[in-house]
Amino acid sequence: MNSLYSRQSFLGPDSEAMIADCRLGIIGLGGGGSHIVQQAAHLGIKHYVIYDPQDIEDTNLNRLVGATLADVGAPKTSVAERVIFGLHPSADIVTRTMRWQDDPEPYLRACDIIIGCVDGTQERLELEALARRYIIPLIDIGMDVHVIQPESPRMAGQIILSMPGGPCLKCFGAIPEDNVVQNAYGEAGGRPQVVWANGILASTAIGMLVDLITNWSQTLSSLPYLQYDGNAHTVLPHVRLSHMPPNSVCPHFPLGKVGPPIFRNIVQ
Amino acid sequence: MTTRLRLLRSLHQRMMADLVRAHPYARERVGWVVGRTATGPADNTLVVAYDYLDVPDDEYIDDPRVGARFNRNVIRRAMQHCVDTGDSVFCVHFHDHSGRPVFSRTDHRGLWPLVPPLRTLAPQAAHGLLLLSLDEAVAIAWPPPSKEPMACSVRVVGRPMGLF
Repeated sequence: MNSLYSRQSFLGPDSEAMIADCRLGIIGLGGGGSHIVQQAAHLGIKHYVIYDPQDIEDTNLNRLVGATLADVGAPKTSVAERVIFGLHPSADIVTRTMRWQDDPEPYLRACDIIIGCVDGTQERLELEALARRYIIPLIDIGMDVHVIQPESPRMAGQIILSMPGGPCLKCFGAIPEDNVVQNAYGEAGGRPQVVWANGILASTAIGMLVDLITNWSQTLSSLPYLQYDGNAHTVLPHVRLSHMPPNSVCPHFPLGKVGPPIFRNIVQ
Repeated sequence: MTTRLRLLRSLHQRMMADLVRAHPYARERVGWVVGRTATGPADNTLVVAYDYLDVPDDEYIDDPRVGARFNRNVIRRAMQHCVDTGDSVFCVHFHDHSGRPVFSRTDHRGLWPLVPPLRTLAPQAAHGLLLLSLDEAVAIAWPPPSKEPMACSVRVVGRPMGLF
């Protein structure tokens, strides 16, 4: 085992190779995604597909891990690349400085796991549909802050593992069945995001990923939907899980409906 | 160029449950895993498996010289699947040990000839051979339009993942 990873050897004798061999897709490189990049690189992942269309603004610097004042105006992808290459000079990174929807193929389907750090319901729906089509596990993270007067702001977030064959975001109730697109953010200031909450969500997502790859914890039934309470500083199984039937089958993504989309001419 | 076969753990378990069963005279079982092929300009080919076609007991032929020999219905069924769907078909069998399995000389001699007819019938799809052990898997594939087989990584998607 490489001495770089001797402190995580408890993950298993083959863990270093398995982690290095994993191709990770990261969608969104802002508050959550930048933490994901940093931890994935430290962990030893060497194959990446990263998407983000945005440049860094000064308002990002309160949470975009790895970015400095000098990076304002640069693409968020450039910071991600710097962090990864700093630990793995020969890393294999597919960098797409664009919306992932504009050019998903063939890059995303090559991923073994995708972590979605995206804003809004619609984008999460679209990303999950792609992941299910190619039977790729999707770990979705997100947070929000709401104000319900006269109470103090409530910070909440989620970490969801959408495993092909298992419950999807709609099954979990994380996305409404009627596809009604909700606002990306709550009402507590302009697009509320903070570094510590992003870090907790990202760290938990990376923990899920490591367990998926190495099975080090031997808890195969570990809960795939966790809720973060930023006021109480807790991460707990989501309350909706207790209302889900065991071994429920997802009706939204039938197992036979996999593979690339097929276009048929419906005009005779 | 990279080629990858991805399947759900539940499908892998279904295959294993079938392939490890003892047969009255065949020493190994075979089956077909079918999937859809995605090809792209970035020289990667992905096969997303969606089903497993087993081989009924009475379609094996008693031949002590090889692990498994089967009659024409078996290959006919795979070919028909190619015709009906245009999808990928991989012939799968199992070696009863832990660790990385290796295709034997008999596998090469007996199984490789199964692939060309599949490629003729569904030329847009990748076809190949999949070999499972108790805890690993290897595959070779003929992605379109390559005439030569190439190593194909296998991804078993579930909890835990299998990256082979």
